[in-house]
Amino acid sequence: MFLLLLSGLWIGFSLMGAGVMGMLMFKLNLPPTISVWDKIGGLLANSIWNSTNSWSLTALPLFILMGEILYRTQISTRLLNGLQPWLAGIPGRLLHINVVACSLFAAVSGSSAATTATVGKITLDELSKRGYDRSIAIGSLAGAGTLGFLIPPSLIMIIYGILSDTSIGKLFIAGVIPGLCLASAYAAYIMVRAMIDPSIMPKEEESHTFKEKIAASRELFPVLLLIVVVLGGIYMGITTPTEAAAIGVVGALALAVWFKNLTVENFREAVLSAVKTTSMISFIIVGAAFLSQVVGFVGIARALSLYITGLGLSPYVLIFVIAIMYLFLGMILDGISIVVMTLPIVLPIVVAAGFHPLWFGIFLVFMVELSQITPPVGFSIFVIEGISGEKVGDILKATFPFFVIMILMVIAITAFPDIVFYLPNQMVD
Amino acid sequence: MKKFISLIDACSKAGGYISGLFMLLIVALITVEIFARTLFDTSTLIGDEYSAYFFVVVVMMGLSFSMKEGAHIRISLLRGKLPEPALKVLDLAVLAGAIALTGFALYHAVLMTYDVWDLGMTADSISETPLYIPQLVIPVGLFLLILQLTSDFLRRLLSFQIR
Amino acid sequence: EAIKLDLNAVYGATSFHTQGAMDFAKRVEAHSNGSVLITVHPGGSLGFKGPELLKVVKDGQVPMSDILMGVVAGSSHAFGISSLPRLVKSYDEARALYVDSRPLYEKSARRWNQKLLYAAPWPPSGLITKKAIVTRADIKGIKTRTYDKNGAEFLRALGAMPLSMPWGEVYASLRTGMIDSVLTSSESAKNGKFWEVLSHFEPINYAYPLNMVTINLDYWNALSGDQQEAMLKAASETEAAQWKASQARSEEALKAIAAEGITVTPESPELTAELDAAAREIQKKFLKKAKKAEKALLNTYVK
Ligand code: NA
Ligand code: NA
Repeated sequence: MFLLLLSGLWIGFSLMGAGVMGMLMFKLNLPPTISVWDKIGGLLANSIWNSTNSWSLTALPLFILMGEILYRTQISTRLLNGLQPWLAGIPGRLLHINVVACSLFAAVSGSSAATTATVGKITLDELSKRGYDRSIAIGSLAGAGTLGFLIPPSLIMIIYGILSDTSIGKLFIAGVIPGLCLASAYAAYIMVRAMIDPSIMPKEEESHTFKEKIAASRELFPVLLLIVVVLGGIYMGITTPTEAAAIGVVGALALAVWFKNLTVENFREAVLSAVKTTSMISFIIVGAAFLSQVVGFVGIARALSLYITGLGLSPYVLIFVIAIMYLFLGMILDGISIVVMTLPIVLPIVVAAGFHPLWFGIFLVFMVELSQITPPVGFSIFVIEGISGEKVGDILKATFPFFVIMILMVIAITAFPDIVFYLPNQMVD
Repeated sequence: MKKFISLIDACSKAGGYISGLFMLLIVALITVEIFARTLFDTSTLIGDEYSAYFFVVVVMMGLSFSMKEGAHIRISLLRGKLPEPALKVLDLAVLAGAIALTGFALYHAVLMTYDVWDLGMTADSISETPLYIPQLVIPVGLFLLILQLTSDFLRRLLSFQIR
Repeated sequence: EAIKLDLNAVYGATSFHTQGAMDFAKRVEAHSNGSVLITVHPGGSLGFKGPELLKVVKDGQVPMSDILMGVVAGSSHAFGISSLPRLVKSYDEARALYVDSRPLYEKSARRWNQKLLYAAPWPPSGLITKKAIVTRADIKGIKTRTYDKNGAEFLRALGAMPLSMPWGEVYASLRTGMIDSVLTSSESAKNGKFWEVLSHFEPINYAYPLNMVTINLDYWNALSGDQQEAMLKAASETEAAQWKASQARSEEALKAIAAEGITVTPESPELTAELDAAAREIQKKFLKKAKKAEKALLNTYVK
């Protein structure tokens, strides 16, 4: 597969090709009446249908479209203008925008890809235009975008909750503090970088009086209104998280009409651009779904987790080895498949070693988040490549510090599990 | 030859517009569902089912368009280091591989859709939609993708101006 | 050398039907002296969702699978029998209906190039709600998540507002108030920890939906006579055990949710009449499309 990827074959095709080869190499025990090519082809056709005929995935193009509309109608410029006076006093200034915006959006969307795509579309170009360092902009987007899984609602937590018989409500609550810690750690890193190397941002503009801040905040109003409408719809029980995406699109259109900067031309561009990003990501999802299916048949994930759990390790060494295993699996598989394939074997062992299922759920969400930004199969990286046009290698380099911060966070929740347990323990049973 | 290539370009572009149209249809369908539910205490009962079908259309019809526009991503580590003649050979090989894979998928997608129609399979929902209808878009989309890849292959082979 | 077979299991590893499949795999290994080894893949980890399973097994993409019959009723009409509302109201009646309809199921499976090995019911579905449901008036306007077409039509006829959504969104939607009730079994209510958000359960014995395990006929015919016999023996043992386990689980789950604070309200006679009337419409509609053999069988059950 690495060979296919290196050859410059498009990623979706590389995953499919690897899947086909995996099936050919694997001893399938077929009865004489079924040909191996029919079996592989049938599986492939079925994964194309099954992975795209998905209600929860429909939120993805809609969130992307919403980001495109905001981006093309200068509502995004208003957002940055409005935030600038407030962030001006903080080292790093607008570089914090990705962290702030991703944290807000993570509370709306259940997936990292949607969070990354929406926020990235709004912020990346604006930051470059204003002279901020592109590498940190991209890195912070990749890092903070994965908050989509940690801050509720979260697709991964729902799947984990069902598979592990853990309360989804408690998982959601448990993700809040680690999510905010992670966001703060990113912000702290950006501040430190900005203090060491002021060249990563444009020259300081004149300081702002409080009156100016209030005046500028009026620019924030439209976007805040949109967030309130989308979030309010979910938390007041009017829409499901998936449906909220459609409300977001309608809201963005309404704002664009209100500010009179919606033209037929930029609307057409927004839709076509959303089409491109959507088919690009979905094509990779199709390839990943097929490869995951093959991996399921061949049983790599199963064999690996059986092997590790058979070693008889002490609790912390066990968690360390499991983390390494997930990092490895996270390179080649997508997050949801990893959880589904390994959990039945890993969870009982982890629980027997004395870890709480609730804690392990949050740990697993971190592992899935890491898998989003590790090559060669990392969805956040693909999304960013799609919207920024940067090379994968550059994106990885930019993302690395944030990857390290995430690892440090994993160590922190392992050493101090109360970060996870504090809020759920306040809940009345 | 140039006519053939521009015809394919036009097909891909049309696919892109259809894809965009269905994306907007998803927005419309979900909006109607939300209004029906909150204002009139009723439900379309097909909202989630049909938005998923529409999403299949968005993806499949958008595939060749996004290929034409160069939106699909690849690792270009090796490509950047090769001299032009070797790069041409590699690109042709990669395109040929992609065409072969798409052809394989197309053949089996046709078989699947035919089977689903022949067996009269319907969705397990109130609408009882015959499943071959939303599935039809898969072979159509893959066929468009093959056309686009072939056009790119010819373009590269004949060293036309690359976009 | 041993023959290895993959069994696709739709539900998670702790689910009652997946455990049944694992139990079946063990029995097959024992009875065949280790010459047939079945690997159970839980949680749909092979990438199949449900409605396509009959076809997927037919084409041998996966040799064996567990399949919820109601979900493939769009492929083969007879598989819709067990998900008809209120056709049977106890485990004994459900068992009798299964014995009567098993030849139909076998025939349908054969038409789809597979062999039916065993089938066992989900614990019966009831309504889990925010307020007690005693009369039909209480059903009016409740926003209920249903899992199939029959459930939606049934509740709509009673004046409720049925909604379909993926199981994964149910908990969050209950919490936000987007839905206020779910048509599901005591077992699923227990696993979903619904007492955190709901307070009443009405065991209306809505249906005893069957879940079956089938094997592709090409794979089946490639087995030796002894191996086939071992598999059939294991199937009949697992079937008996699963029927018992289903009933036990249903009763235990009912106690468990009651212990967590859910009020269990038995059906009132007034409600029974209303529910039966709504169910009869759906049964009749099903009969209209039924083949002769299905009609002959169902006429003894539809009153
Ligand atoms: Na989220
Ligand atoms: Na990865």
